Amino acid sequence: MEILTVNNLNYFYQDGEDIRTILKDLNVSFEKGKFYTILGASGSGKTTFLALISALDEPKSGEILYKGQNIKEIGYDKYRRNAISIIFQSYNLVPYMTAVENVMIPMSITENAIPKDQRQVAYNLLDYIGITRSKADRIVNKLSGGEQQRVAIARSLASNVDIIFADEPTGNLDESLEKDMIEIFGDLAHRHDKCVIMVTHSKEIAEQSDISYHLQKGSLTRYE
Amino acid sequence: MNYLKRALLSLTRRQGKSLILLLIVFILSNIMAGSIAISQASKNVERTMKEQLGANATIELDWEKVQNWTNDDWTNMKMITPEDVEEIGVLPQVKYYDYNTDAYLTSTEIKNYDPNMDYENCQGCTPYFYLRGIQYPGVLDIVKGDATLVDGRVFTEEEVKNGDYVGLISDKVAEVNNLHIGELVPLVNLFQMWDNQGQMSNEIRRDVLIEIIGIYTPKIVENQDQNLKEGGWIDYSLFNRVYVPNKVSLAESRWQTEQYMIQYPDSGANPDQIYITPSFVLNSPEEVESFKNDAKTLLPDYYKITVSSDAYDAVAGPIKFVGQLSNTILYVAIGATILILGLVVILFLRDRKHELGVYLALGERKWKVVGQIVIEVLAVAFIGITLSLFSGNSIAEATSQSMIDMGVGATGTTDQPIYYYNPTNISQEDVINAYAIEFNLDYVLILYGVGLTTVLVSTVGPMIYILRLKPKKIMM
Repeated sequence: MEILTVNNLNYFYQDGEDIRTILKDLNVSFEKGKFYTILGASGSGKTTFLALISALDEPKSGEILYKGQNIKEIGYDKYRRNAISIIFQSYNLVPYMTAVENVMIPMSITENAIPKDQRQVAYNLLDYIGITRSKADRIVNKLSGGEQQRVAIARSLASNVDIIFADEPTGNLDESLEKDMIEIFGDLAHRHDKCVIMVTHSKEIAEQSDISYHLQKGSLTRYE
Repeated sequence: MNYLKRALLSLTRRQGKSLILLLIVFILSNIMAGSIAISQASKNVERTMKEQLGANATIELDWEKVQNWTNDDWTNMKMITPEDVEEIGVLPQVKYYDYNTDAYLTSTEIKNYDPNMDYENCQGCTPYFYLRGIQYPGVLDIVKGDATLVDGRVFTEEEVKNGDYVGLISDKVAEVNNLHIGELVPLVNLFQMWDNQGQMSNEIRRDVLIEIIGIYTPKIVENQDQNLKEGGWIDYSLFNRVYVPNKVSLAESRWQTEQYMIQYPDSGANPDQIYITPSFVLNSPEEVESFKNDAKTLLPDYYKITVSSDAYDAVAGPIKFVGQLSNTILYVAIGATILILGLVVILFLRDRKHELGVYLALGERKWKVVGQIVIEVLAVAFIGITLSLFSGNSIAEATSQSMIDMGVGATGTTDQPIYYYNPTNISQEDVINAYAIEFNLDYVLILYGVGLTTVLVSTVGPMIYILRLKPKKIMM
């Protein structure tokens, strides 16, 4: 079932007379229960593509449909609040909060149904991605990079959304941690019926996803 | 983890920055608190003093405007008439009004009250009395509290209307002459003529008998000035005042003018020209300014309205200086707070850019992100202002005296002893003595109001900073 559809998406940067095309008439759709990767070299526009489909930026033309409705009509903030989560390469956790407090942040922002005992839900999510109770109560700055990225993943699950975007989430992690992360993303798609879309420059990671696209010269092609 | 909880966590977990913010707010709000306390104290002095002085008004010639008048100007000058007084008297600010006419009489049978004079051993000295004509039967001086009726009664409307020869004398005059209610006061309207050598050539007398219907005592304000006891003098004329209907004093005054016209036919004196002194009691001192404005429109521009509280303005220079200085300091402190706090908060927010980006990327409403920051700043400000309530008050007390001294230096002192009896007499010393820094509800509410509003305004810059944030630029 298609949950996210991109139609004729265009994006460019303009500097005076110069126009630099990033995305050109891009069409693609994504389904729940699948783990996607968007593969591309640095500067290929994959992060821009992620910013557009996660409503952090606005396309120059074209449309992005969530469950058949244009996200502009839904409202970008509302779309981000209730439909998607984003995991960033640099974790972007709130530094003075504990891991569990970080996970609880989206619970008060989303309008999706969240169990009443939010703290316990947050502990369970952290436990699911491998953060123990004692670490869950630590200020996030005291955790390792891998642990912080796990907290960021737990936070992305906290608002109970359909789509999880990940922007090079393993970029700062070593190989063993990267493997763990990819397993978690696969698990989220296959066992928890999420649509996971990851941007990466790693062909190894792309090969482990269900479907992979290659972004090159503004166009998206299936990567086999 | 809603925005309120996030604000609380930020305050408690980022203690260093919260303390820096608290210190800045504390220092600036101390300046504001001190200025407000001083400003309040000077306003309280003004209010208290003006309440004591009462809201009594009269109409006077504006001497500044008539000083260059020609004889023609004086001839054509419009006198204040009873109709003018009545027109002003119906203004909404007026509680009571009256107009008075005066006539000066003497007596050969009774003594006036003046302990400084020995009439029995003074050749050519005559005791003086003056008739104070009234139109308001209740006698405005009694209504205002400038005199108290101790025996008998005030006038009836009929007595005032008919111009009956009835009156009120002071208790001292009654005492020295053993006069009682119902008895007659034997007075003399005396017109004396003088020759070129300054010798009295002739005198014309007219006997005037006033029936005593009431006895009053004038209000005596004890002058605290030690100099009064050490040789100052008191004007005893208020004790020798006889309240009578206007028609009585006008009749006696007219008789004198007529005698003058007989003696000096070319003088141009006119017995029909009435000199009246209007008197208005206002509802409250707060209505003085509006009364002045309204009444001025009903008078020629060479008249001015003088109110009893004007006496305060004449001697309150140093306190007004202190009030103005404290207001200026307050405005500067407000400006500094807005600028400094706004910049410091923006500086702190730059460190928290990623945190704010997280909230926005998660779809948090911008007003809640702004709300979190505003609540954080206001919470710190509330603590800072609360602490400064006490220290600011102490600073105000400590600096007030030197500010008053500066005020005396800047405005000059009028602190000379005033030796005459005057129910509305106040000195610069009285005003300065009445000045006191107080810790009261007004001070607390104004400081919280001004302080928190200033802090709120200082968050406008940070608000704009947040509203302009683009999460994509921060996060990716």
